[in-house]
Amino acid sequence: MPDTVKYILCLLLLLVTVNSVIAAPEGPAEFTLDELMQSLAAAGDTKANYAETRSSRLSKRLIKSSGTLEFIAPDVLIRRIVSPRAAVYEVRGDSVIIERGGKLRSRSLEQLGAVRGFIESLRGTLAGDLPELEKYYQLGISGGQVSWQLELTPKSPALAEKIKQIIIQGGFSEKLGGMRVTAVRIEEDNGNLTNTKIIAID
Amino acid sequence: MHSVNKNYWQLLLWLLLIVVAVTQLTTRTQWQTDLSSFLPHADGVKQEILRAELGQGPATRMWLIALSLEAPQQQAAQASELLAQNLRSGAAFRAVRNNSQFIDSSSQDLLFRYRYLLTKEPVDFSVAGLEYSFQDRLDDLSMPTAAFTEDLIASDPVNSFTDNLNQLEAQTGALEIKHMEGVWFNQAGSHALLFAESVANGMDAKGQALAWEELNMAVESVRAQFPLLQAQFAGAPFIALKTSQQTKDASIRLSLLAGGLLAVLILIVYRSLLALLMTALPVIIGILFAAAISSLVYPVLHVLTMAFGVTLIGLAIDYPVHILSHRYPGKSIRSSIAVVWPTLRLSVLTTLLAFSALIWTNFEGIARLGVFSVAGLFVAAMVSRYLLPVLDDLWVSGKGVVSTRQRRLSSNIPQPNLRLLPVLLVGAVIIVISGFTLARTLSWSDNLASLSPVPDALIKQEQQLRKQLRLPEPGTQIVVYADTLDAVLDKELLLQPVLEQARTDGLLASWQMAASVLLPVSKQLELQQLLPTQDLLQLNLQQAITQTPFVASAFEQFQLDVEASRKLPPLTQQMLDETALGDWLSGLLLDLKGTDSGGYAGIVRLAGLPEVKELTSRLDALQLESVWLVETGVELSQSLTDFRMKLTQLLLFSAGITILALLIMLRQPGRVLAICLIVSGSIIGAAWVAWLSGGSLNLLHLIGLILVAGFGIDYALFFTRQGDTKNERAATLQALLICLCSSFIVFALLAFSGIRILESIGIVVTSGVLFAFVFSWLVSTTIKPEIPEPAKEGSLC
Repeated sequence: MPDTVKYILCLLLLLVTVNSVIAAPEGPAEFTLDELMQSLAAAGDTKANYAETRSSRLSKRLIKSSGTLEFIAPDVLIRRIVSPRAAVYEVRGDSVIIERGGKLRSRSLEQLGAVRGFIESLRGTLAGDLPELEKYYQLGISGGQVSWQLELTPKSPALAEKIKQIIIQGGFSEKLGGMRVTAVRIEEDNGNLTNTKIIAID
Repeated sequence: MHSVNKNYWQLLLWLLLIVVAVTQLTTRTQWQTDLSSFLPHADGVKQEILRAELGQGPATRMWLIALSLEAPQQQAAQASELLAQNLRSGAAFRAVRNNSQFIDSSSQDLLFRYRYLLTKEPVDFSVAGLEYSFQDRLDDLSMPTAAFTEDLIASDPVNSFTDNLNQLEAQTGALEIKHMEGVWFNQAGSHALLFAESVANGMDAKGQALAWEELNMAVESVRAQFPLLQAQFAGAPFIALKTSQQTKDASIRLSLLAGGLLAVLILIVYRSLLALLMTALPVIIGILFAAAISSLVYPVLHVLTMAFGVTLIGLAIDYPVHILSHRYPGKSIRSSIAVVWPTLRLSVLTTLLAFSALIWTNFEGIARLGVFSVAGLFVAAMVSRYLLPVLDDLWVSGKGVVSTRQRRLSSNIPQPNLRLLPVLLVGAVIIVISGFTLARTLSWSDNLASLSPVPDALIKQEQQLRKQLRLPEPGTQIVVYADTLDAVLDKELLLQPVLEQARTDGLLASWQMAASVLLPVSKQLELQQLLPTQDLLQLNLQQAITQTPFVASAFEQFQLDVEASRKLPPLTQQMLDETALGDWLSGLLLDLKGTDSGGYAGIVRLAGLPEVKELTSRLDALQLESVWLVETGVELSQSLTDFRMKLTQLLLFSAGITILALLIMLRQPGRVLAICLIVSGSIIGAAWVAWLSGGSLNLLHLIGLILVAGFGIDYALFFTRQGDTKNERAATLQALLICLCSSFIVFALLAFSGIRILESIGIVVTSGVLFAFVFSWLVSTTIKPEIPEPAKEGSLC
């Protein structure tokens, strides 16, 4: 092949490359926090099964639990624990209602101190409530609409003392026709790890 | 004529006495404002406890504060935090709370260390018990909040600390108050709520005034940051302060107004400034000495004693009026005293006799009132008799100045031609009939509210805040009495299941008792005995843990703590002293060591409008000795009823003595009968008026009636004087008209003052003096005047 042709081909290749580099931002759009929150808020009520594993310095093996997780917009989050033993942990507005061993106990979220911010990590995400989340966490987002990852780093020292980071994963579900949370990973300051998988109910 | 020298010596003596009285008053007198000294001298433990509660109970120290901002709740919450910080840094408040975290870190440390000696039930440390606990903790770790409980699980897998706290919080209802942004709010979310407990107790008016100042300053400094801040206040000390302020303002206003009007009256009649001074001096010096002498006899002077006492001493304004009215142009006051004194002396004596009945009650407040009024009236009479002539000699007669000119008000009053016997007979019949009907229809109200000068609006505001803050009603409590603190706590523990059932049945919302925190030493030792040894616990733990994923080594701290608990000295009230919980406890336990009964009392405070009747019967069913459900209001009413009955008895007794004294001194049975009819007629008439205007009579009406009796005796004695010339009769009539006008002015002002307690007295006395005057005058018209001839000095009375 004559050098000229080679040269032109190279030039073309370069042009294509440069072109593609320049055009990249206009390609598949970057997924923003606002967009994520909007689509989560639009998702409305959800109910799913969950399975959780937790490492603990008190335990020689992972502690497993499972049950269902229900969110009713805008502010009800119910965790029905089925295994190891039945219990219900319900956050409704300003109060927490715990049903365990046949006993009902209710608390105001405000009285729980740092726990409040912790509870908002999942409830606020499911509700798509950005201001509420930003009250307690530094937020970082990566990925796209189809599969995203939200990183929450506690702002207040009281919360940061226990929780190092919370990572919430999710994506758009064609089947369910909306944005879904699919996993939560909690990294405690002492190294404990909690992984929660949220499995959509068909 | 007295020598000028002697007059100067007498004047000097009076001045000296006044200086002594003022010194006594300013250096030694302490003021008291609570009602407890108006309770009967403690007849039993219950009364004793009630007295202590009324004066020093935590309710008397509780300031309630509501903050609002036209801004997001977040700011109101910040303002609440800031105010709480400001108040905590000051010296006037010992506890400030704006959220339910009432267990501060130092009390929490103690509760944690003592967790195994404070459990309601013994903890099961057996293998089975521990297995059960571990399963429970495994559940804890499946909760979404596991990250926050793991550390606690490691040192307390049997959950005693959390159980103890939960129980305490549930009983006190602390968790039911609405929280927003970390602080208490009212249900509507419009006001952030706080309460602050002052260091000073309810008896310490000065300390409360300082607390109020500090509170205001704290609010102002918060307002610097939040300019739109609105603050509302309530609570017993606030109400007491506002009420005493309002009453004081009104009293000063009324006193000035009454004083001015009286001065105008005296000036119109006597047209002399000296006469004005002479009318004022006996009352003023009388009050001064009354206060000084009272403070000499009793260590503290009660504000109510002062207020009622001053009213009673107001009677003494009649003394100089009698003397001045009988003075004739060109004559010295001594000649007028010669004419008036015998009757006046009798009037003073009988009044003193009647009032001295008050001294012999076992109600300290009333006894003080007796001492105050008797001392004041006596001194006022002495001033009228001995100081006025000195002043007169020195400034009027001594310099040859013509005496006061008088306007004869009375010469135009018609004189109906009545006869004594029919008047007395008709009077007697009317009095007996009306007195009888009155006695049958009259009802007494011993409700505290009818005596309280507190405005209704303040009370309503207080109730609202109290309800929102889940604070116990100040009026209803269970009192548990025993010889020792442990015995009190034991009884309280027995009450707990009853109260829990009662709450389930909706009879009350929550309660506060010492036993929720502090267990009797014996019970703690019992729990301690049941704790396993280190080896046994380790063995059981190892075995129990095999069924779980837990690792035994993670629970080392737990084993160490149980072992330490086995050697702990039991938790006592003293150990909690410097903590928030200790403050809370001190309001629930009374050490009665210094009192007659001795021992200890536990106060169980009930919140949420408790159903008293049902609760009482359930408590009775427990058959616990010395445990009472006490309603402060009811108890106080009962005390007031006792007090009123006792007072009435004493008054009847002193009336008898007074009549006897009159009979002995006057030796004129007909005149004494006339006086009795006049006085009883005025009292019955005034009681009718009070009853018709208010529907029932209270203690204050009764005090008004005593005053009516005093005025009545005075009027009757002077109006029934025999052997007076026509001139003297006119002078008497004038004097009594002035007396009537002056009392009328003062008490009519009280009747329309708008302050409940003053109104009661005002209505009774205004109508009473009118009746006394009319009745006395009617009787006087039946007595024929003597033909004028120079009267022998001192022969009349």
